[in-house]
Amino acid sequence: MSRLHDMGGRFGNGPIPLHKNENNKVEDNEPTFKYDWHAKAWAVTLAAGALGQWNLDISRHYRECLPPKDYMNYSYYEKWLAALTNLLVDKKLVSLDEIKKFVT
Amino acid sequence: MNSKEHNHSHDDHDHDHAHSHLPSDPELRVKAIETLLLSKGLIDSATLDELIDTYENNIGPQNGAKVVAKAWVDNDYKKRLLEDATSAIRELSYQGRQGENMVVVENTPEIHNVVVCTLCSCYPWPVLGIPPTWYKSDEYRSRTVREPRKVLSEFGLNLDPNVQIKVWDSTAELRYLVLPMRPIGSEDMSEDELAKLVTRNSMIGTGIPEIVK
Repeated sequence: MSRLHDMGGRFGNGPIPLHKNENNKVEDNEPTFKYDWHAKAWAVTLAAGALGQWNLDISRHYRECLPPKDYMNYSYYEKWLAALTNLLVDKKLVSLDEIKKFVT
Repeated sequence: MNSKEHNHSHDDHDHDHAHSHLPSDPELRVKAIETLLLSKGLIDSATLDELIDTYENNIGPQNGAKVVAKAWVDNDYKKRLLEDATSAIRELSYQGRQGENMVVVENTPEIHNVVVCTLCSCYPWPVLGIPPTWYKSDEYRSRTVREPRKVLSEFGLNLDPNVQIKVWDSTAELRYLVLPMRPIGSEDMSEDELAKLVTRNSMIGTGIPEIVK
């Protein structure tokens, strides 16, 4: 059985989410980061990766191991952030209690 | 992966994951992790600013466009690029993170190449920067290998039925750049002018360079 992230050839997905301009042409000028929090989620993940506690494959593995419900519902950088959080706790760089302190 | 990560036996399993304890608003979630790591001295803000600035201003499709334009005007370079893309791209000082092993695939009148990452979002960062949203979408990842012609038509690219489409599925180890065909009518253009014609999508294979009249 293939896992959720292995979606090549899967049926059931609709049109590619594209932005078109007034001439109905596909826009090809998306900024590097659409929102500040995307940039932050990306940069924090890279900076934390530079601590050398894991490699690219491990961080990807953590994204792929998110609960299917979260993998489906999260946007791209939400997946990054969730996987990073789990990695930080598993590698004992931060504790669960420290994370819980931020729940509002 | 510790054992609790695989304890998916009941509906409340989310609570076993550290990430489920974060605030629900993604913006606050980022802030929480960032603040925590900064306060523990594990990361510093200067590094974050530098990373973001580099990828917003210095690393992006403008780099890949220079590679393509050079290949269009310099046959020897093109030969090196198709034989050993990583080295040829390094000649222009583009290298490193998420572009360690590069392959360039050439479009011809008979063959059109298109790149996808079905498993995640592998993409050649040194030459194209950070992938656009659609590249990371479930729709692009799932459909491109099954019905590439239909996917390309959604981008406004309607290929002649006689043109063969080759789909390249990127991996963490191997990343692809499409060398598009030089547009007709660009014969008198300089390398710099040519580079301006080369769009991001044309180097992924979901577009072709066009001369804007």
